[in-house]
Amino acid sequence: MKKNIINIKGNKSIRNKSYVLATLMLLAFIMPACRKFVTIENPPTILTADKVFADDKSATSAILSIYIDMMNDQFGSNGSFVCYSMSQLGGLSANELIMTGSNTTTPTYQEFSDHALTPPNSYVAALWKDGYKYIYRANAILENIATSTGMTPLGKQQIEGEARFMRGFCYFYLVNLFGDVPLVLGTDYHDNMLLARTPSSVVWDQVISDLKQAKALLQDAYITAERLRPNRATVSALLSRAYLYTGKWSEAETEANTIITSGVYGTGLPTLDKVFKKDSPETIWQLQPVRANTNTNEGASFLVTGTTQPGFQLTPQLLAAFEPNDNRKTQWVGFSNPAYPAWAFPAKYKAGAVATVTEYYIMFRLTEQYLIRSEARAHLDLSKLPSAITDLNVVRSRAGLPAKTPADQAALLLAIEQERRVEFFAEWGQRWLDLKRTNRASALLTPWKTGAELYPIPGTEMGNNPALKQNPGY
Amino acid sequence: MKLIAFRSPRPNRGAISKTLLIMKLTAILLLAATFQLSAKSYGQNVTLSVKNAPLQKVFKQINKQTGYQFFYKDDLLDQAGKVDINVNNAPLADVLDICFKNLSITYTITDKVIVVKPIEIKKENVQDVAPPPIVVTGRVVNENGEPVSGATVTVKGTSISASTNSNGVFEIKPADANATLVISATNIETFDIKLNGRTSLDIAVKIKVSSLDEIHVIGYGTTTNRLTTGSIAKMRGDDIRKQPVENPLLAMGGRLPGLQITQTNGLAGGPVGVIIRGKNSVGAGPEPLYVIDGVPFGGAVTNVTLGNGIQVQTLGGISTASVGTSPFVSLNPSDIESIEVLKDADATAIYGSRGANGVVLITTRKARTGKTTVDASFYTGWGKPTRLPDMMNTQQYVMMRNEAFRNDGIVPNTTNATDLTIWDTTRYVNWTKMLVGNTARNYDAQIRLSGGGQQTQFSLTTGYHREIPIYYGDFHDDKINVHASMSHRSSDNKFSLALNTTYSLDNNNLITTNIGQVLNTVPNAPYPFDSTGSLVWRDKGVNFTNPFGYVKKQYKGLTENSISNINLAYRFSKSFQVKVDGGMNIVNLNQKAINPTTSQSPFSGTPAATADFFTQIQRNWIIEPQAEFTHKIAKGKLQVLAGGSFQQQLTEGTRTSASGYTSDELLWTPGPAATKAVTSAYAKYRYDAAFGRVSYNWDGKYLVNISGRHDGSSRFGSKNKFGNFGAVGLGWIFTEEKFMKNLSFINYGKIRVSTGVTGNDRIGDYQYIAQWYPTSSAIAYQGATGLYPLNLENPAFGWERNKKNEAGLELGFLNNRVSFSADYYRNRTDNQLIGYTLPTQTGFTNVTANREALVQNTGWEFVVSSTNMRTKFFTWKSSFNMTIPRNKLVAYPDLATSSYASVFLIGQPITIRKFTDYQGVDPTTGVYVMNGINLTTDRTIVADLAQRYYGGFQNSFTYKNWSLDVFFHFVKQNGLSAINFTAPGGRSNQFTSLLDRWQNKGDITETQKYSTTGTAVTNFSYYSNYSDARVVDASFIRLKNVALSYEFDKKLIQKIKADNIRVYLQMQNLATYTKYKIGDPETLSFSDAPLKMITVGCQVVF
Repeated sequence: MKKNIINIKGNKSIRNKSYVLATLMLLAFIMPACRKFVTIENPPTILTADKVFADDKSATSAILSIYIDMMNDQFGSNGSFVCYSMSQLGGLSANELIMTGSNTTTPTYQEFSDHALTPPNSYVAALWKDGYKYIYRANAILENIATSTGMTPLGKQQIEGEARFMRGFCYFYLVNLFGDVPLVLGTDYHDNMLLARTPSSVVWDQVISDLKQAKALLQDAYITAERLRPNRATVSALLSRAYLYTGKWSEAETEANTIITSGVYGTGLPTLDKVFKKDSPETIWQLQPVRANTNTNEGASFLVTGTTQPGFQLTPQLLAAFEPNDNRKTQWVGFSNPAYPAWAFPAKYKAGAVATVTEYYIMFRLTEQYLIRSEARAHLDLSKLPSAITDLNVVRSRAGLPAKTPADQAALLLAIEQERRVEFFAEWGQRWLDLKRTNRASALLTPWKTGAELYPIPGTEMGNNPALKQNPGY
Repeated sequence: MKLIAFRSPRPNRGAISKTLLIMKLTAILLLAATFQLSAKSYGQNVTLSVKNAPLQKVFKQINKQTGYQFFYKDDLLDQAGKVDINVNNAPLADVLDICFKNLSITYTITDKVIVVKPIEIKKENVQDVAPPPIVVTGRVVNENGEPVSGATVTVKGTSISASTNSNGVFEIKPADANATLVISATNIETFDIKLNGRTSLDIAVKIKVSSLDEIHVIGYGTTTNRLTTGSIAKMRGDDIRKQPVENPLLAMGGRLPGLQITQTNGLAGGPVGVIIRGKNSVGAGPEPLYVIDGVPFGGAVTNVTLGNGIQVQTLGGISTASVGTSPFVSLNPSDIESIEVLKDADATAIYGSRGANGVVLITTRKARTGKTTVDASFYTGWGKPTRLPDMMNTQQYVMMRNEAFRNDGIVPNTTNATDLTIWDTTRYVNWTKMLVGNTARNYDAQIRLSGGGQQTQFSLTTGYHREIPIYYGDFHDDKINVHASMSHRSSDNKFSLALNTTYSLDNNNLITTNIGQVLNTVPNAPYPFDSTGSLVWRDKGVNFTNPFGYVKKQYKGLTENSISNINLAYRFSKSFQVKVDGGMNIVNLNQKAINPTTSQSPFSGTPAATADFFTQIQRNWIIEPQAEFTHKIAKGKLQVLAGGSFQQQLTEGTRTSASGYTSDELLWTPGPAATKAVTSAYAKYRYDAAFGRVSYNWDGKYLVNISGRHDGSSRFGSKNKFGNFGAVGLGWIFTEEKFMKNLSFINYGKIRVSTGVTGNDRIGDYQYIAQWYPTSSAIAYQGATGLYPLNLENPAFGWERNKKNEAGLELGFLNNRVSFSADYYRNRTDNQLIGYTLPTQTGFTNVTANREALVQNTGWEFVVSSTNMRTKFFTWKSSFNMTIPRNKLVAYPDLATSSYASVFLIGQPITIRKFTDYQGVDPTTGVYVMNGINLTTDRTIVADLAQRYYGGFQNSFTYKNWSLDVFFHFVKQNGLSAINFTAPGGRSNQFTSLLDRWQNKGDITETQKYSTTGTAVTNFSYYSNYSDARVVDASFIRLKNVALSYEFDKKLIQKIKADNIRVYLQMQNLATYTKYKIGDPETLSFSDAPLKMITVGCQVVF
């Protein structure tokens, strides 16, 4: 009996030991497996930066992403920095366009027309956000190609040139729209998140410095068959504009002159119907539409069919600004309903939402360089007035208008302003930027509010960066 | 030694040996009972002469002489008394008969073993005329298939009784083959069963609905209200089913303390916000961890906007969506057994890193022992939105517009006012009525089959649910679900297996656009359909964005969800068990949205047919081996659990945007499209853990629970993958103390405290590496795609820590007729792991990072339940709960220079918002005036938009066959008023409440002058976006649910062989009391209102 009891006892302790042993074995199995199990490979959908900049080809994809997204992002949801949005919003701000809602008013648009922007305006926020989105990409590209070991020197030179150009391009618009903006030149968010606004003069210096470097890096020739990636002339085109805006007349003249005399863009200007076609000879830089069923956003959004009221109407003031017999009014303005003669809309781009692509998005064109050279010369000295007038009349004659002979510098400058107004209406917000740089916005635009030259810093940005200070008037 | 003696356990003996032997003895006893053979057949003789001798001595002698072994318990023999025997060479059987005569014990002989046992048939049965004794054996299990031990089985009307052993097995000898057995115990509902000649019974009893001893599911186990040291709230499946909701989460609103449920819209399948004990994180979402039958469920969702403007949801993201469908619609409310919400550290720490926001455990209905029953039910309902805004009619609208132009000094013309100058200003379309004026319908049918014997049980459910929204058009959401459950245990009860599997298919073609947003369409716009039924897009040359375009922009969302889990357990002994829980969850989304040319205006641009295809499949698996050890130490019971968890979640998806179709008819497939833009998504998430729990219950008085977990997550960089979490919970049931026994009015009282640390890894996958992602344009850029940076990398972030403290008091009075509980909690989260908001000048809107910010949530939770009246026919029960949550940002180093400088204030809740000071409408100028509009310096008013307190009040009445449940949900809160963001006077219809506006100098009004431009419009923008004018009292009391049901008389329904027939009427969101003026206070929106539903249904059980 005792033996039996001892046996049972013995079994029990063996059992208990074995339970503990089993548990320990379970843990012993689990513990080392833990680390390995939660160490996972990178997902197959992405590349890490070192892989992207391992060779020229994928590094090229990095810069292409900027052009592609500028053409692909829908303004309003994702935002599309400058493409179309500058034409539309700049057009509203310059009283070229008014937005006529169909069933409801859209306050976000109305505020631009009324020069009554408020910090919550989501379109202002989109302009800001997208500018910095592409600046980040340019900065990331610049940082990564600097350390890349797999790229060729020539490849690095090309990509760096394009990245510097795009950074300059984005800052050009940001500094024009907002004034002082934080100058972000790297990718580290620790450094960038609390940056205050940099004085606009410093931003302008950076724009010009980036463009100068880009000009040195890029080739004269386009590296692809079509003019879809910036070349040296593209940089000059923006550089001449930047010099013009900053009053560096001589430099502006030089840059514009280089492009005009290069012969690459024709000896004169092509006929009006060719300007916005994809093979327009005067195009310096264009972007290829990448959205399905769409040529340009301008075509898809501005054009209306039949006798419909346009969503974006040209203002009576703009229509009145055309001289009689200006072919631009007949060829680039659409009228939808004779019963309401005011129903006019921009019709520079003729292709709407169609799959066949006949029009590319024109970023820079030669006409602007004539008018820049003209304006720069008008400012330089009296001896250049005649050549300045010649440049002006190159543009006028293409529009079927008689030559103008302004008597003095002031008259010439006004004539150039007028010519730019009717040449570049609904195009890239040129008029809005022109009136701002010549300080004539408050005099010519109504209703006006003091301080409306600069858009407000978006409310959310003000909230997320305590170092930002709002523009006066908001 | 040939005698096998079995002594009563001495205190120093281990519990294991005792229980093992009891089991063996029981088995032998049962065996013996089946072989009741006469001893004579063994024919051995005995010579014996003893006087007043203990039986042990007698048995020893007999054993010596015959070789027969005796099997007995010492104490049985001690109680039996002593015997006198004087026999000479007498047969063994005679000797035994003499020996047992007049004793309370008897014996049986099996082979050469004599088993001694007590006599169970009492004296009154000892009559010659009595029929031969019937031996009835049976097993009693509860509705979960668990054996009920210690239950008393009595033959009705007699004193014959027996009790069930640890396996729930009993043996009883009633005199009558048609006797009725009564099974009773403290933890079950008393159950009567008529024998009808049967001698072997499987009896399934109901667990007694005593809130104290009700089983609660917790992480890796169960507990009861009485014995838990943690804070757990439970919603029973029955209470969910009283509410005609599609999403089971919606049924919980106001029912559970500490749980804040918000319905984001009134659409079928719309997402539901769940916050447990406040928002812990300054940046990350408050979503809790959802676990369905042990399998974590990808509850968090993100949404994606398709090409036709429809937003659909994707799984596995990190932010909550405000539109779209929730994956929880695929859970069938009628398959849910219970939902347990784990709140404090003690309950959640076993989930370690994912317990920070609380854990919601959803348990599906399991198979049960009992006769095969068929339970069929059907309901149908009708619904209308709770609150819709009153919009101006044409006359009022035209008056407003004209007045606005007059105020602005502008003459309306054919450019700026086509609605006044070109359109008919007498025409009126009531858009509210047309767009959202239909009656919503729902239909639901479920059939459930269940049954099983002692070893194997099964249940099968299938159901169908359909929802039709209030919108114009042919929209509906159909759901089919199948749920199967099987459980088995081996005959020795050592091995058990349970399998649950659910499959559901939700076919949603509802519009997912928020159609309420176009209620502001101008009322004199053209009638949306022409005489042929086609959409009208233009009237007299003026474009018209027809709100009915959505009817043509169709959407089909197919969500397949399959959840399976299997539990295998092997019990080596009563005290040691090894388990493996495995689970799998596959969610398959297949969404299509088409944008046919007919849905687009031909007058603005060229209509182009496009379609979007979104597929996503998420596969989860989880394996959790566990070992459980139970041991008695002194007066206490020690339970130890150790286990591991391995989990993987793999999400793959593809989105195709297709265009270039030659016909609208081909839109439902991407094949015929000329152009396709494809984006791919892939995310793997892996997670593992080792966890353990030790709990000790000393004499049902003192409770200790310690749990810990070591977690690893693939969401962190290599240096930060692992984290340790744990908690301690203590409980003291003070009413078990002697000094409390005299207080008769209080029968139960417990104090519990817990403290611990949980964590949070709810961030996206792969955030620690810099990812470059391919661009997704439909057409390549000169044949090439781009690569763009997707995120800001941060390899350094690590676990968020959430420290939880809790103290609770639970009381039961008047034999638990009244129960009360109060909880106080204080949760603090630091090392905040968030999508840290960045100014977009960094190139991104956020980065995943840790912050030193310390956020505190404190709160009180109260529950009072009582049985107010109980008579033979009438009962009235009430239950009231209330939660008072408070939130505070305790510390935030360098707040002033962070992105959150303008958002948060130290010492204030993180739910605050800063507003400019609204001063009213200037009586002179008639425009809204704010005390400054500089957003940096003038936002001086701080308002907390969190719920101040919330809760529910439930009353249940039964009268004979009638039962009535009435439930009120109440919330005290400030909220933003719902407004139309166009200034009154613009080309947008307005609420009639804005008719009371400023018109002349000196007018005192709440609405500024009508205007289309200028200062009034600018000020309106500041007023609507930044001023505290919109902070209003959004408190409400809502009669959330009324459920009336009637059970037909049993006698009546037996004619059709039914067990139960019930008909019911259920009403949801029946009435709302609120000061909130426009729209619904629960959704804080004028365009999304929950539906007021009235349903009727019938349930039949066979």
